[in-house]
Amino acid sequence: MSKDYKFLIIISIIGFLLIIFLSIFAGQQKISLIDVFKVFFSKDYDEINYLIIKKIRIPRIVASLLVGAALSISGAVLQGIFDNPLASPYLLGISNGAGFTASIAIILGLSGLYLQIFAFFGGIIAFLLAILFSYFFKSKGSISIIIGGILIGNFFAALTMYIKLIADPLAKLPSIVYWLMGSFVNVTEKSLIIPFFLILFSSINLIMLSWKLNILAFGDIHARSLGENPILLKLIVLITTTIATSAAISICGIIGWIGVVIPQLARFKTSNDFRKLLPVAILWGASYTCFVDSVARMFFKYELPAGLVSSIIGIPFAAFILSRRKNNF
Amino acid sequence: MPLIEVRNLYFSYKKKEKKDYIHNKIKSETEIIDKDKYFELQNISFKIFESEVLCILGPNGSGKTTLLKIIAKINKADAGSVYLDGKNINEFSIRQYSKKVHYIPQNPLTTFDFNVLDTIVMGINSSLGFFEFPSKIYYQKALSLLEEFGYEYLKDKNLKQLSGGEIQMVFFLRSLIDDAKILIFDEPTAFLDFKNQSKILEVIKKISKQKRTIIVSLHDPNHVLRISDRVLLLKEGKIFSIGKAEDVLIEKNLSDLYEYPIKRIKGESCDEYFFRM
Repeated sequence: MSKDYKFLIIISIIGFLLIIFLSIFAGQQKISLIDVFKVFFSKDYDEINYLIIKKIRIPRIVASLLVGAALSISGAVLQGIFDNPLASPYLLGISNGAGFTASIAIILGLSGLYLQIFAFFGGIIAFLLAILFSYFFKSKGSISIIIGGILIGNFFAALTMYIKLIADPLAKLPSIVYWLMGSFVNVTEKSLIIPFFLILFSSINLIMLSWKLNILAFGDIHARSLGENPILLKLIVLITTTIATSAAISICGIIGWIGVVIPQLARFKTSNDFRKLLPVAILWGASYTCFVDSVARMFFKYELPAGLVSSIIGIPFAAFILSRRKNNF
Repeated sequence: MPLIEVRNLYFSYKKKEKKDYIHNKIKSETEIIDKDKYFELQNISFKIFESEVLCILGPNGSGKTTLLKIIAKINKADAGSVYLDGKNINEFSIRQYSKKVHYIPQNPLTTFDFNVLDTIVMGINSSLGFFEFPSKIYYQKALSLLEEFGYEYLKDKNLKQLSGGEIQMVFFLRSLIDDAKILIFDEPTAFLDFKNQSKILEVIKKISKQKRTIIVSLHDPNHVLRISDRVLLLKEGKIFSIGKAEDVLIEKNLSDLYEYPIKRIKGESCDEYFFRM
C-alpha cells in the first residue's frame, strides 16, 4: 500500500465520521450538542430529542450510509466489468423494475415492509428479464446485456407511467412520485435490518473478488487466457450488484447519480485497481449520500427528496471534476 | 509425441450455416469438404513439437488470429479437435489450460489503465484461489522479470504511459511469470517501430531457449526467418504450406501466398538472405 493511498483512506475515514457526526444535527428541529450528548450518555434527556435522534435521525443516517455504499460499489464494479466509465447500477433496468413494482404496491395500499419487498423483487425481476432477453440476442457479450437492460428498463418505465396515469391523483399519485424521486423520509429501524445484511454480504463479496474484477476489466479474451470463465464471473458479480442495488432501492426509492459520479471520482483519485478503488468508493458513496440527506432535511421548509438533491449537487460537481481531469479514463 | 496436435479443424463465424453443416458433418466427413467456402478455417491439421518456435504467416483475413484463438481455447472449433499432450483440450478446465498455455491477443490494451507490476502479476492468476489476492512474492518475481529483460524503469508506470513496444513487453512478461510452457502471441510486432520489432523478436528468441514452445503469428517473412524453427503458411483458411523455414520460405510460395511478386535477395554472408517486394 502506497503512502498516498493510506493518506487518502485516512482522510476519507475522517471525513466519513465527521459527516455522520454533523448529520445528527441536521434537521428542522434544532438540537444542541449538549442535548445530543445527553441523549446518548445520560439518563436526563429530553423525550422529544430522544425520539428525533434515536428514532428518526440515526436510522436515516444508517440508511443513507447503506444506500450510498451499495450504489457506489455497484457502480464502480459495473463500470469495470462493462469496460464503460458511464455504467451505473441502474443500467440493467433494476431501478425501473423496482419503480414499477413499488408503484403497484402503493396503488394496492401497501406500505412499509411490503412496499420494500415489492421494490426489491421488482429490481431482481428486471435484472433476470434483462439477462434472459440478452440470451436471445444474436450477438453475445457485455453489450447485449446492456441492451437487454435498457429495453427492459424502458418497458418498465412505460408501465410505471401507465400506473401514474390511472393512479388516484390525490391519494396515491403523490406517494408514487415521491417514491420514484428517492427519499429517506419513510425509513424506520426495522426497515433497515434485511437490507443491511444484503448490502453487507454483497459488499464483502465484491471486495473479496476485487482481484478477479481487475482481470475482468481487461476484457473477456484476457480473462479466459488468464484462467477465468468471464461469463460465470460476470454473472456472479452482476447478481451481487443487483442484490445490493435492489436492497438500496427498497430502502429509499431511486436516487440517481451516486452510482455514476462517486465511482468516477474514486477512480480518478485512486486507480483502476479494484483493491484500492472499492474501499474508497464505499466510503465516499456513504459519506456523500449522508451529506445529501442532511441537506435534504435541513435547508428547506419541507423535505426535499434526496434523489433531487443528489442530482442538483452531484451533476455540477461531477462536471467540474471531470473538466479538470487530464487523461481520458 | 507432438506437444500439440491440431486435427481436421473447421471454424466459421457464420452461426446459421455452421449449425447446418455441423449436423451434416456428423453424417459424413467428406460432405463437409464440399462446403468449405463457408468456413474461415478449413481442414487444418498440423503438429507442434516441444520447445520449437512455430510462426504462422499469411495475408490479412487468412484466419491466423482465429486459429490461434482456437489453440488457446478461447474460441471453440466447429469440427475437429486440438490435443495437448495427447488429451483433447475440451477436457481441460479453463483454469487448468491457462496454466499450460498463455495467449496474448493483438493490441492487448483496454479502456481502464493498470499499473505495470499489477499487469504482470495477473499472469499468475490461475494459481490463485477464487477469493485470493496475489502475495508479495509474485510482485518480487514480476520485478525480477522486469530487471532480467532490462525494463526495470517501467515498474512504477501505468500501461497508458508506455509506448507500444513497452506495452507489448509488459504482456510478454505477464506470460512468463507463471511458467506456462506454451506461449501464443498474436502479431506481437504489429504497430511497432523498427527497433521495437527487433527487440520483440530478440525476446521471443530468448524465451524460446527457456524450454518453452512458442506459437506466433507474424506479418513479415524476414521476421519469420529470424526466429522460427518451422513455418505455417495460411491462405484463405487453409494450410498453404508447412515445414522448416528454409524449405517453406521460397520465392514461389510467398508470391503465391500474397498474390504479389516477392524476391529473395542474398545477404552479405553466404547463407543469409531476405525477402523484398
